[in-house]
Amino acid sequence: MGKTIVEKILSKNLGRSVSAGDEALFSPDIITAYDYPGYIDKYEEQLRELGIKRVTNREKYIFFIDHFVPASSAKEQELHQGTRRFARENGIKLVEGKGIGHQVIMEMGYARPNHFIVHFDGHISTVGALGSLGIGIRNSMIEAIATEQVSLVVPGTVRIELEGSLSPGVTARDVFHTIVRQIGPAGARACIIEYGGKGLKSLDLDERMTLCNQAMFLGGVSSIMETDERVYSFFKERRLDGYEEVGPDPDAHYEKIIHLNLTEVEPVIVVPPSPANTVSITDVLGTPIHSGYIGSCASGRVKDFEQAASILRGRKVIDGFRLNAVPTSTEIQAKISEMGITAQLIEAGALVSFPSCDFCVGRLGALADGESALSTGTLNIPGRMGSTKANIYTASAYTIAASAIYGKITDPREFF
Amino acid sequence: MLPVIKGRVAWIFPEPNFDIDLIVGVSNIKIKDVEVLKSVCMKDYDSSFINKVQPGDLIIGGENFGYGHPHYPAFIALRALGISAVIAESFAPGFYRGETSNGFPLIECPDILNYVARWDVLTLDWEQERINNENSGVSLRCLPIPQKTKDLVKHGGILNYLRANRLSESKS
Repeated sequence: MGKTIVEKILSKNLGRSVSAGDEALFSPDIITAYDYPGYIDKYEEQLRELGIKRVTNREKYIFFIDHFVPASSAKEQELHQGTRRFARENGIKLVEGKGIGHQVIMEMGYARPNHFIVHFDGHISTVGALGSLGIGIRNSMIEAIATEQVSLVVPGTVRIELEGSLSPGVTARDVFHTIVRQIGPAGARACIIEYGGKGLKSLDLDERMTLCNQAMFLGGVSSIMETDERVYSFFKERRLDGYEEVGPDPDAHYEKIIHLNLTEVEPVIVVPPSPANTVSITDVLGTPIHSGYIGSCASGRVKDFEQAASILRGRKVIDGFRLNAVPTSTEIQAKISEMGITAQLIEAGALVSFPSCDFCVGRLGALADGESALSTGTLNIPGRMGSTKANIYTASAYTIAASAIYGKITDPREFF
Repeated sequence: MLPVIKGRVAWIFPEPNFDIDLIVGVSNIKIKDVEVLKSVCMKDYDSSFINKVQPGDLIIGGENFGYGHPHYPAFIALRALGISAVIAESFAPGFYRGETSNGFPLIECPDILNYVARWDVLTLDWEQERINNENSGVSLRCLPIPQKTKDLVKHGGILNYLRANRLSESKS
């Protein structure tokens, strides 16, 4: 019996063949986390309780400061100070001021094909775009830190076979939420979502990262993709080591196989109160919107801003509409400046900000009672971006740009 | 030793993909004070829940319970109020890993919603992996409970589990 990608990666990790359902102790290649109250500070406390003075194999670690950035109070800065001290004492690489960790970990070459990465946060699944297996292990991070091994039951795999290419005005966000709509929010529950097929080759890496980022909203453990020349180029352009080919065996066993023709995907909107609720954009056209946010670890990449700028170029955001454009990393921020996109967005009336997680969680750009936002953030549960009495709709950068011009949900295909 | 799970059904969340942040309200997920968390717990579902719940009581859930971004305060509050386990049709994997690492029993029982009513008394047979409804006499098979989950529950969470099973003297 052949193996799926996750079975191959975990077999390689263990040094013996494992298949879905097998439980074993696996050794993460990389252990990563961001600082937030109750996470890195807690690991330090837990290590102390376990009588462990220092982490071993510090080269396996990379920590990020990407929440509360820049700090807006002494208390927030103290949290960062604690993380800086812990990282220094343990010889751990700490990255701050570069953007959201789930993105920067890839830009820095820490997410390599066939590698196994653990984080407490499930959005580490983003690295699946590079053929790297990223799993959010939540409160068992101390297991990884204290023992450098984590117990896992090898998950089954749901294969998503992509065909065709995207139609004008349609994005990877629409693809992901269309899959949720098609197979349900539990459609890949407790499984790895493996993307492949000819259609995958038509998507660039920014689009692939968007697809992989949201595995948890299909109930998935993580996402992973076949690698190809685009992944090879990602490594080569940045002079990073470690490119390898990743793909399943032809006779791999899947829990299910879903076929999706990208050409048939249309713009969709995720309506409050949960990522489980996807509707066609035509069902909510004209809904008044007060604020837009393009950013987060799910989106906020060059492709998203190219899409937004293609609609906003030479047009204006309607008076009273707040459009926050937040590049996911400084690398992206520099790139969109170089491409002239930043100037185009500013000219249209957007506020282009520094990379930070804080817009996604309502620490910045918060919503008041009764307001509605269109967001490329990860989550639309009430209260995620400020008031619990505000409505969050998630959608693509194209849809947000089009809607910002009219102050209401607008089909971006009008502009093509 | 594994704890005795015997309690009343304090609440049933039949909805699939339930986001547990709603148990304390999304606006309260940054609260650290347990007493405050208890006071807001389940308010949107039953305003007198905290007066009715007793130690040992259970929560019942539907499919993919714990979907979304499951933050910890909801179960800090429920555990402080005495909730001893959740029995659901199935759990979202992130929620499952997080709460079982905290030593909290999460039991998957695909038929559970069809055979319970609020305040029924249920018992869990850890050995046979069955849920028995003492009111109706119905006995339901659970999905196999992973050994790791049993170990985590037995040790009361990940730290004691690691001490007992995974850390050698030389590491300390």
